[in-house]
Amino acid sequence: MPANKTEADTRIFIKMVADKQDWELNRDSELISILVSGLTVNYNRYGYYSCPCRDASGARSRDADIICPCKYCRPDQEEYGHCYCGLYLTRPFFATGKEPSSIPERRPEDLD
Amino acid sequence: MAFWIQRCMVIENLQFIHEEGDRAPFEVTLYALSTCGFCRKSIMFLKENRIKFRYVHVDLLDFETKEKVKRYLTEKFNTRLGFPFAVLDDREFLRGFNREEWEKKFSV
Repeated sequence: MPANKTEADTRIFIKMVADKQDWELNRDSELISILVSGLTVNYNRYGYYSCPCRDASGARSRDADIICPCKYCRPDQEEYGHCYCGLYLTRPFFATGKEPSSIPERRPEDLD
Repeated sequence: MAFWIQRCMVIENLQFIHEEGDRAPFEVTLYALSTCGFCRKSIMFLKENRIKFRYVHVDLLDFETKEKVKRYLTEKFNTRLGFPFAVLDDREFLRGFNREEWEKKFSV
């Protein structure tokens, strides 16, 4: 099991991902705090940044597609402007000022 | 039938957190993940609107119980599970948190 992460580590991680991909982080600081906490809990629980909005199996190979940023992030952004958790937003969606909402699950059902 | 009753017992034996409120348009049971932002938003929505409800963090259950709960919900409602998952009057559900949809459903 890798060394534990702090919430500060996780904040650096999501900022790094967003910068690298040219995405925006949700401007809702309360939601960000919940997701940072959730990602940190999941890292320290499973050993990887499993999506905080999905129930992980705990087996890395089975959860590979939902390790943040998940495999469905980009298609979800293309269709809805943000990822499943509302963490990573496209720049055009961010500019609208809209509040992200839950979106349909794109992950194949047999992986639930 | 015994099988189904056994499943129902799994739900009723869960340690729900009960939130009091002065509005009870439905009997609301919320299944959430402790790590999920939209789940927290849904809990805050119900509290802010003073709606009585009970909830449980599914990810904090032991594995066997969690699997039983997930199976019970998917079979009862013949649907895919997603969080938050709010059961209303034990007969309909809201999956995910969409503020407009919830405002309409709870008439707030």
